[in-house]
Amino acid sequence: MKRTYLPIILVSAVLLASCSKYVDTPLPKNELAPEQAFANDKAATAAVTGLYADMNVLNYFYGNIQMNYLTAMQADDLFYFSSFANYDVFRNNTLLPNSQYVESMWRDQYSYIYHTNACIEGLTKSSGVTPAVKDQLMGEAYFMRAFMHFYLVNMYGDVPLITSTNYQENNLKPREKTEVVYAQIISDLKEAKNLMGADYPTGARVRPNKGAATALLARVYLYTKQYALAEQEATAVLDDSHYELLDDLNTVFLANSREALFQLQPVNLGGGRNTWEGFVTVPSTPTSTTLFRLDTTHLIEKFETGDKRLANWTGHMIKNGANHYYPFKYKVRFVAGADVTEYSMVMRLAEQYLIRAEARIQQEKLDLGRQDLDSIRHRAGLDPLPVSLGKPALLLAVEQERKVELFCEWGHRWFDLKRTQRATAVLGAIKGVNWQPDDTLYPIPSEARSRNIYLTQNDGYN
Amino acid sequence: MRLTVFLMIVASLKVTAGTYAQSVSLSVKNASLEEVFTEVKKQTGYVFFYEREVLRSTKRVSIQADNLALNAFLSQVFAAQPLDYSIKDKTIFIKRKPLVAEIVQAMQEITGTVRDGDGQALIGVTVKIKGTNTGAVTDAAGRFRINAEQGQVLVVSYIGHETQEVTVSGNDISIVLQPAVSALDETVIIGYGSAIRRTSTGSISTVKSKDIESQPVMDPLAALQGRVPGLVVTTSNGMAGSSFQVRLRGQNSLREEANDPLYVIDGVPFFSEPLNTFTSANGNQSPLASINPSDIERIDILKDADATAIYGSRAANGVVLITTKKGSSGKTKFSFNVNTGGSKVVNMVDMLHTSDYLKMREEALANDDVTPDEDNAPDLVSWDKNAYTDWQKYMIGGTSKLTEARGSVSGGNAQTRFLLSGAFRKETSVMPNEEPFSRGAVHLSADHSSQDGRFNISASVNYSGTKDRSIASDLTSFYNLAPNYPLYDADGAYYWFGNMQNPAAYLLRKSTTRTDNLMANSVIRYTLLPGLNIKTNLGYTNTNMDQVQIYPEATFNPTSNNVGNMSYFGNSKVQSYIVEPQADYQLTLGKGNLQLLAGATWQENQRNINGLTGYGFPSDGLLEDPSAASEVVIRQPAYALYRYTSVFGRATYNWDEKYILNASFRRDGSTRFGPGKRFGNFGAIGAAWVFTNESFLSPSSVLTFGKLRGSYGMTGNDIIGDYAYLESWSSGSYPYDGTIGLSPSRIPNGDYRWEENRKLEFGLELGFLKDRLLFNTNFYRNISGNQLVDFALSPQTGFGSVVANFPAKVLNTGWEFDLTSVNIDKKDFRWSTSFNLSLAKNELKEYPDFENSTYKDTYQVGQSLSIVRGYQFTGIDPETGEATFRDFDGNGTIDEFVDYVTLGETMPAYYGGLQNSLSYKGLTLDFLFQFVKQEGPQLNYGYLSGTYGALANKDLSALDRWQKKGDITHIPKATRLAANANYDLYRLSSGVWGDASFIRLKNISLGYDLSKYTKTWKLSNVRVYASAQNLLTITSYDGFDPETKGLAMPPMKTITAGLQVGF
Repeated sequence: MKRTYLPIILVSAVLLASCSKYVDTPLPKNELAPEQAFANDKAATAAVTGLYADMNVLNYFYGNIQMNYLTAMQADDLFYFSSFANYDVFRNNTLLPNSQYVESMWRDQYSYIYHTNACIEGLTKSSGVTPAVKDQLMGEAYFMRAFMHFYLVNMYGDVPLITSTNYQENNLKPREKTEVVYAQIISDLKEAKNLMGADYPTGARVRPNKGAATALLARVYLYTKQYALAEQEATAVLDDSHYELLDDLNTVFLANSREALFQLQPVNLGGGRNTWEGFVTVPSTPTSTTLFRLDTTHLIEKFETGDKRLANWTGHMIKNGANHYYPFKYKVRFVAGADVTEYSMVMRLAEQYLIRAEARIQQEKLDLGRQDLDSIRHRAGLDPLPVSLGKPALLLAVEQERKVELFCEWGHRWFDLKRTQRATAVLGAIKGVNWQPDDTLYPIPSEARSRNIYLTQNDGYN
Repeated sequence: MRLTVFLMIVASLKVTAGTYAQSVSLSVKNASLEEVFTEVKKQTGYVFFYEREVLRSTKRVSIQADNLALNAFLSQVFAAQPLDYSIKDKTIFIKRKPLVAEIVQAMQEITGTVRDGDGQALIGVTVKIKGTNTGAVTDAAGRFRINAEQGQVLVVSYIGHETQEVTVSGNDISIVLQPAVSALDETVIIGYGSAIRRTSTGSISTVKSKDIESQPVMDPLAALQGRVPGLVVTTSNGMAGSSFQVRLRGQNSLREEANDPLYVIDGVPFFSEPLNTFTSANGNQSPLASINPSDIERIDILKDADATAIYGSRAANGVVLITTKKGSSGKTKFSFNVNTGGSKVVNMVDMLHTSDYLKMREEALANDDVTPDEDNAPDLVSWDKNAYTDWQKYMIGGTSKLTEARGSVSGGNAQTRFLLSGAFRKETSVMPNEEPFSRGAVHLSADHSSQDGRFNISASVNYSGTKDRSIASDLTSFYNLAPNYPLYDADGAYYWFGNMQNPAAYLLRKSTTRTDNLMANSVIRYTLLPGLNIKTNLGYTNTNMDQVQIYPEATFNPTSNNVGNMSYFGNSKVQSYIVEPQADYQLTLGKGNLQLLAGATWQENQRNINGLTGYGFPSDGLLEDPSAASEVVIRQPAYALYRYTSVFGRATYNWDEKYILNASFRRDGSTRFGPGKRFGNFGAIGAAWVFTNESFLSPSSVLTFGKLRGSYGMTGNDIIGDYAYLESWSSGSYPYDGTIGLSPSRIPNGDYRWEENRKLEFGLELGFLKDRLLFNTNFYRNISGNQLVDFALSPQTGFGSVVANFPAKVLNTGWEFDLTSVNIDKKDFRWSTSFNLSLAKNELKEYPDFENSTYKDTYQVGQSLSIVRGYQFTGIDPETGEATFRDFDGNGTIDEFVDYVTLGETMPAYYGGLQNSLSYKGLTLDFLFQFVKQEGPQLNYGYLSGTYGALANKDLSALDRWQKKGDITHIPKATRLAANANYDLYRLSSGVWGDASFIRLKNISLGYDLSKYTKTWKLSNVRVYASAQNLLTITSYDGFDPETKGLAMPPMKTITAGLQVGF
């Protein structure tokens, strides 16, 4: 009997020893360890560009309808043709803490911030990436982190400031004062500006470069009323030979247009899409119903006679005797099998003229400011502004010019009304009882607040 | 007759082929041993080795053997001879028995052989001298030796057989044990072994093939509904192949998806996660739909720590052991079975007719102060106001046709047995296109023992292929289409409005899911010494699912989303192997019997999921060909290598059939955890006391059996997905600026480990009136701690959650009652009843710092995990027609979470089943009622519920809506605003929550045995039968069905009739 036990015991011992090795599994074949992701130039570049693809994979993603059209609905540019609860709350300024896009914009932007922080941390540790590439990639990560915080702070007010991937540290961070967030944004953008080159890494304008960082810095200085700095940064961009205003308005939104500072390259083409912006707004046939319509009274009628932007950047059809206008900056809806000709415009040169115009007017440099405005008006086929205009009138002219130039682009109109404290004056008259002065800020999403008790709610929301 | 000829031909072929049978057919009278030896050699090829002189003074032999196993034959031949024989290779050694010394005391060595009814030697049979501690165990040839006096009584007991008492007479005893007839002496399958119900320490329920086969169901899980105490099986959707939610003794884990039991089929763990890369009309396909229910011999459900702890880290939610059918020796049997029938949905919801609907719409627009136009009210302005379509009838009102055919052949002899069966089943859908779900299944089982019985090998192979032709999603959700919605425009083309989907066009979105499932396993056993076996269990499974879903151009609404055509393709593959060497040993120790088991496991499971999306096909006819797409996007692939290793052991000590102690242990390692956290220890201890075997309780005429048992132990749960501990980057699907980008995969946490589930159980089992009435009560108390959760993170961290352990505790307690009774047992008439009732309670027992936790809005400490929270509806304001709600904090507004109350629990309060089986002569009738006491969301609950007055129809509750000032009612006024905040609250309130209890005639089957009329045709078994599933449902639930709740295809009521022929 004893003899038979011995082999069993021996076998068991061997089995036990081999067990722990057996459950040491290799990395799954579709995942990379962080060291591998930043092991060389190619992998590290992919780690950074992965973010841009994530931003516009689907039509309701951040880089598409959300940032372009929902913000336009909150202002006075755009509406959706029928009742759709998720959009109605934007159009009516009746956002709720649990409105779908209020939650998803918060969630998405913080997930992009995680991505940028993971890149910054990975690149910092990496030794296999060549210094020039490392600088560019690091600059892109800082730029995007600043970009996301910029939008967060303008949509939600005070927001948590996230500069690492450490979830234990970040999970219960309270909201940070807007000024503190802006300080970080400025510091990140300065860093980005120093690290990145003036040329686009592959020539395509689909990743930020020094010009984009400088341009965003100009915008941030304008928003924070540091007009001299805003003028200085905008001038740097306007003097950069990579960029020019295009005379033909129909070429502005083309891929790698020379007016583009930063574009998102469309992905997920579905067999013939270009940008999601074009896909959702351009009607499928000349007579089919448009879903997103421009506000006739508050936008279309605000164009001056002869403004080429009205003819080139808006579409028009008459259905059942009614005029329907729709955004037409992007022309391509869906052409099966065709190449991509349009990219999603994130930042473009025209805005820099408008930033400098406003910054100069605010600094009492009225002539120079007016000239910048006239540059934009000239391109649109409009006459120069009367030299007689004083500061208040010029500031209103800036507002008007921004409205007709930048409509349906990345929240410009909405943010302009907010930052100039004109929202209640303008929107209150349009939206009626739905408008409350504290509608200028989004509610902090209920999902975020239910998981982080230190997040306070904005006024006017529960 | 023809069969016999066939067998003879086979037999003679065997001889001419030069092989020999291992059985002997011989009929001689008074033959010499040498003559017998010659004949045996001729028939089997075995030679005899002996010295001629040992044959002196042997007796002449008279024997009649018809195909008797060699071993059995020899033992008969030598029974009366003063000789011993032994077999080695193909030689039979003969020697003289040692002369028995004249012993003064009458004690002498008695030898004997124990066989079963088929003449097969039984190994490991306990033979004890009654009233003493002396005992023995049979060896591989079924033989035992014991010192006993003539006239003493031997108690011979063996698993699954009637215990027999034999009086010693002579010194070589031949004993035949009959299979057990009392339900208490039946074998139950337990982890890595079997036990007898009478002395088992664990809590185990069994459903047998008779009850499984009689139900015309696709999925074996459906056959368990209402039959097992403690088990709740809920269908998600009435379509063929849809998945089931299976909860054994409640929800243990905070993660809803981590509460499935472990399935083990013929000893091989079954991968029970759905393989779909995208869903079709039946949702995720149930992996168990690949198993043909008629191939199943029995399903044993292991519930308590004692029964489950041997499965260690995967046993927290219980274990479901499925055993497939095996061949039986004897005459070769053929069996055929065909049946056909039809199904319809059990229920549809009554909706408003067009006139009432339009009235509600007009009222809504008036209430909203909006003038109807063709944009906001096409139903009032552009559509035919007299048109009416019953959309439910159109979408899900068809009759599904069901056809099934099965055939099997089985047979074998004492050493080798086999079974081969095949089945085909086809079931069309109740949707208008009637696309079918079909399944073909083949099952082969074979086993073989060596002549001396020491070596045994068994193998089974199951293969099934299913094909689900369906459409992209369940059409039930179209139930509330406006009743005058036109499907086609004036030109006969599909009509489109706004962003609404045209359901007729939707039908073209076809979906095909093919699944192949191969499961093979083998058990190889060798008996080293009497009572000591070594064996290895080997298993291999390979499951493959291919999916195609096509979206022709015509199915898209051109006004909102015309993207041309597209198709989804998906392929998932799971391959696994398992190797489990084991040793078991059985010995008599004192007055008891000790069984020991030790083993080890290596299991690997590799999963590959790939998918692609094709766009821009030149023609809708090429949508199933990915190479025809002008653009192909590869969707994020999934890949996981799961490995699992363990050592385990069990010791069972049975003292005199009165006191039984059982201890089990398992140490597991799993790749689902990070380095350093991979191993865990689990174990349980169980005890039973059969008090009716105590001498102080003399067997009374009423109470014939009584057992008290209890167990306590710890099991674990590792259902957490793979790699969640790993910090990594994954690639995206689309190139950007020339390369495919990478993104962080997750927030990693390397520190989490097993969820721990401590189970405590007490059971009382009683048998009355010679065990005709059996009553079983269980009480359990299970605590799941160290909860492994997708710990919800504040989204500002960048991810929604991180996998982590949390010291929360979930308590499941419950009572289970189980009663079986043979009411009448006459020659021609038999009536038996079984009844089960389960009461269950679930509670989130502890949750440290709950108020600051991420679950504070979902759960409540002290309440069930299945609670649903919402607003407390306080009626309709008679002035305004708006719904009102209780404002808990009194701040004047009704706020999310703050003003929530617990609406109720989705987990049933109690449930069970009542089955009656009657037979009169050849006629049998079985019926099962299932009952469930529960609450649930009503028809108008949830975010998909639109306002009364939106561009969508409503059920008849709309007739009670508030219409004018002063109306006292419980239904809000009509309004068309989708974002009406008031309705937003109402649809999540107690106003649309309520009772969802039901009683259902789950199955009724009627059969008639025609054998006596068909004997002349040599048909041993001819039976006609009819069976119905879900024939009748009694409920006050206001939606489609209280089982599926919500907007899913209700379950089917099915009626089939069939014919079974065997010979």
